[in-house]
Amino acid sequence: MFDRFIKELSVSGKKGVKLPDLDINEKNINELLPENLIDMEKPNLPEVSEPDVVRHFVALSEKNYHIDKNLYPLGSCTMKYNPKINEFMALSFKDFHPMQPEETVQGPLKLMYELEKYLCEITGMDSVSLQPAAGAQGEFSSLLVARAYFEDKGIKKTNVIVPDSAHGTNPASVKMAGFNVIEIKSNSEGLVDIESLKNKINDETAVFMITNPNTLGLFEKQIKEIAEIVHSHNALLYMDGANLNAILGIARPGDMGFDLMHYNLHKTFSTPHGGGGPGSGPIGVKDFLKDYLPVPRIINDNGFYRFDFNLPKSIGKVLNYWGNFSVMVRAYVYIKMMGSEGLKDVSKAAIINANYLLRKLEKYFYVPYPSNCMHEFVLSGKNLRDKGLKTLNVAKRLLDYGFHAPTIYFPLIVSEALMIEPTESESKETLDTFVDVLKKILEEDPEIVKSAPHNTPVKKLDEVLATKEIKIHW
Amino acid sequence: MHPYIPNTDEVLNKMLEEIGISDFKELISYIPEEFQLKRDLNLPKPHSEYQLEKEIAELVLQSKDVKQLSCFAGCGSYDHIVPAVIPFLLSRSEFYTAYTPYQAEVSQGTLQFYFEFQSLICDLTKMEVANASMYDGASATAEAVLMADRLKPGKNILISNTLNPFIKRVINTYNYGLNLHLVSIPEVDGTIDIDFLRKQDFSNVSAIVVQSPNYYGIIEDVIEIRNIIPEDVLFILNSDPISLALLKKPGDIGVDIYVGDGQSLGNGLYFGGPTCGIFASKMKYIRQLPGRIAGITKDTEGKIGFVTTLQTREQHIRRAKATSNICTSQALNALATTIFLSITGKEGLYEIAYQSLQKSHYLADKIKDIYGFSLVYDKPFFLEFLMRIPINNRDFLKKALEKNILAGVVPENREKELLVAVTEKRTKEELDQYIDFLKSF
Repeated sequence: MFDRFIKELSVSGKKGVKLPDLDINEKNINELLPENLIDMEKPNLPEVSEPDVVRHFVALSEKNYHIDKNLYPLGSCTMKYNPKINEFMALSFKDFHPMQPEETVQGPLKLMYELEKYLCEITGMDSVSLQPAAGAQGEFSSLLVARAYFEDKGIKKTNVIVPDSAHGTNPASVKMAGFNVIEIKSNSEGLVDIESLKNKINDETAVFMITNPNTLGLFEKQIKEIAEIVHSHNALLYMDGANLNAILGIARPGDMGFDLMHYNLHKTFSTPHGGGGPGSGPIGVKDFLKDYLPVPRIINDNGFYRFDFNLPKSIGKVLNYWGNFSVMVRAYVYIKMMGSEGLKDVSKAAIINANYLLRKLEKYFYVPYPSNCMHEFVLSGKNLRDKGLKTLNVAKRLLDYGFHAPTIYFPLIVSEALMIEPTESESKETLDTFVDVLKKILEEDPEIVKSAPHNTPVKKLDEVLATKEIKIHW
Repeated sequence: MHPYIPNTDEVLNKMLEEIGISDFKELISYIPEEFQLKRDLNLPKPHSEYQLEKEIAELVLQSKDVKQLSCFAGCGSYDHIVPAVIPFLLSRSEFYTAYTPYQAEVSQGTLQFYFEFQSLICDLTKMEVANASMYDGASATAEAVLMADRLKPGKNILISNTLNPFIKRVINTYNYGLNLHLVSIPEVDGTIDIDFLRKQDFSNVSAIVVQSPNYYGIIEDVIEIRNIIPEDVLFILNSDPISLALLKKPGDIGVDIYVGDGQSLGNGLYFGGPTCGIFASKMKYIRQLPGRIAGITKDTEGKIGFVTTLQTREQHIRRAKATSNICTSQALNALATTIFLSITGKEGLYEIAYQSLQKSHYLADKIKDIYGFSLVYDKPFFLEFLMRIPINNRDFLKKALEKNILAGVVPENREKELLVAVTEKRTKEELDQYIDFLKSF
């Protein structure tokens, strides 16, 4: 429940920090700043002590669900365990300034260089840029790389094809990159409809963006044919790497005909999600696209690592500096902790967990695509209608039992969708408990389920009211 | 199985058996045989924590950070204090291992700090609305340009040449596929050319982007700029949020969209990131804002709670028609900034800005008296200035490193000049060492 705002703890004269001494002769501020631009009032900020701050934010934190508490089965979000060593190693780099001379930052540069190589090896790509801050920025940067490539070759391209099962970021990134979005339907198996692709693709298609395995958790088994169709139109095949956790050490996008892709270090590579970031969305490309990657690139000059800004064909920069560096450190540490063997185990355990859960839950929900899945699967709550229930009700009731809900109402092509990704981090016991709880919810008095949640810090919140009476600051 | 994976091989096999699968290979049989990887990945062997700690320590030891170097580097990343409370609170599982608040009822902690972040940003800037963070200040500035074109489509957008070149580059990249009409406003003596601006025909202009303190650290006359540009031209201001503790607030001087970087507000250096982008505007533009926004609502019992609101602007609802593609942003960095603005507060933030101002001017004043060194521009600055030096700036930096001084940042396309920044953390002793070093030339 809502307690109070930090602002309400403010008492005139309270201090939260002791600053370094001002041990030089001061000048009158009017001599240093233009008089008309000086604000005579001090900033309108709280006055609180250090213990006030700690208690306030600890109290806030206690109202949160988090992966260290229990299962977080959000589909396509890969809410896996965040190893603790990652955090300590990231702290080691907190005092490096981004603009230090290269000879003083050989360690951070080497780490980035090696991480790029690891990410290439894992996916079969030839070059990686670590700069994009998140998956969506990775998509956007990749589409600009495609644009730069085609412009360089003098080929006019105007559209990008996206399946109807795609994440919302895909069409939004397409538009920001200045292309038109063409959507194609999935077939009855939940895969790319080859005929529909053939009908929509033309010589003005720049890119076909797909997620593989797709958002239904299904591997696009006709990937070879898809790549051939795309390439026959001189278009590029892009992989949204959101679901890379399913194929680590099992198959590589670069071997299947993908030309470029993005990674989500905050999904596949165990970096924490932070309540909505920071993430990191590196992009990987085949050799013929590397000249267009963001600047700077990192070069290894006989053991001396340096930045290379001199890339005239590059799309430029998407962030102020080099990317979310401390997130890269975590991913680097994770890959080294796992090795090839560990990463293969990740995908294997993730796939088995998902299939186990799918078969346990198919008795209780409608299963739109009944084949075996990869690391995630989609159920439909449309069979709950007889009880007067919707997917949303079940999701909210799960919260009462100490579980987070799956992704719901996505992908858009499944009605009343529940998209479930258990990840490799969950034990059989946790999965069994989750199944038992879902079973129990469906046996409960539907009225209790409909009015859920009951045991959470607040009851069901009115989203419409928040839009009608906009109150977004105190 | 690896220690991060709780199911043993035996358990996994039992699970497979239970669902009628005889071999794991069945589950991946949709992957065409020719694409199944038949070898191990060529990666380092799995490490123990101890091995990794050693390797990371070696990487750090091969380098020098600002614990060893006296830091006078800035250019968008400043060595301000980061109270210990910040990394401590950020390391709570409840914050850092939570997902984006999709289920509001179990994410009230995250949603309330989004809300407090927005509120503190509004209080600091006196803008009417703020979102819950962007990636960084540069991408926030680029998104502001895109937003300006949504508000007033198809017109010219003026970009001050005194904007940090990296930020300009990010704007150009964001604009690459869109081809908005960006027009550069020239500079004169380190500030935007006011006369040029006065002569400008604004009939086909939608917005102007200004940075103040600008790339050279100089404070632009933002009040005069606002006076010159017509009321219906959007004023986009990028500034170091710390400077707002001393200077007139964007909301008080008619700024339409304020953008900044939360780096200086509790996010530390970290070799450039992550930080968070700050994005605030007038209320009337709220439907065109990019990014997530938390709002107050009530639960079924009438109690106050928080949700993400105005979601119809966002990609997961509007897809291609969204105001931006942004999804995951930099929430934990926004939390760092929220805690920073709370714990430094009214007096602390003022003191940080005031000390940075005083200490940088102490250094600048001394430099004026040293032979061979001078300030390139004699204009009011906040905590950073452009210094003229007698030798090539890269050689100069190397010599300074021998004295364990990180003497500044090499500006773009300049050889005998250096950007020098001073924060509250520098002591008189460090400043005097720097001065002695200059005197040694």
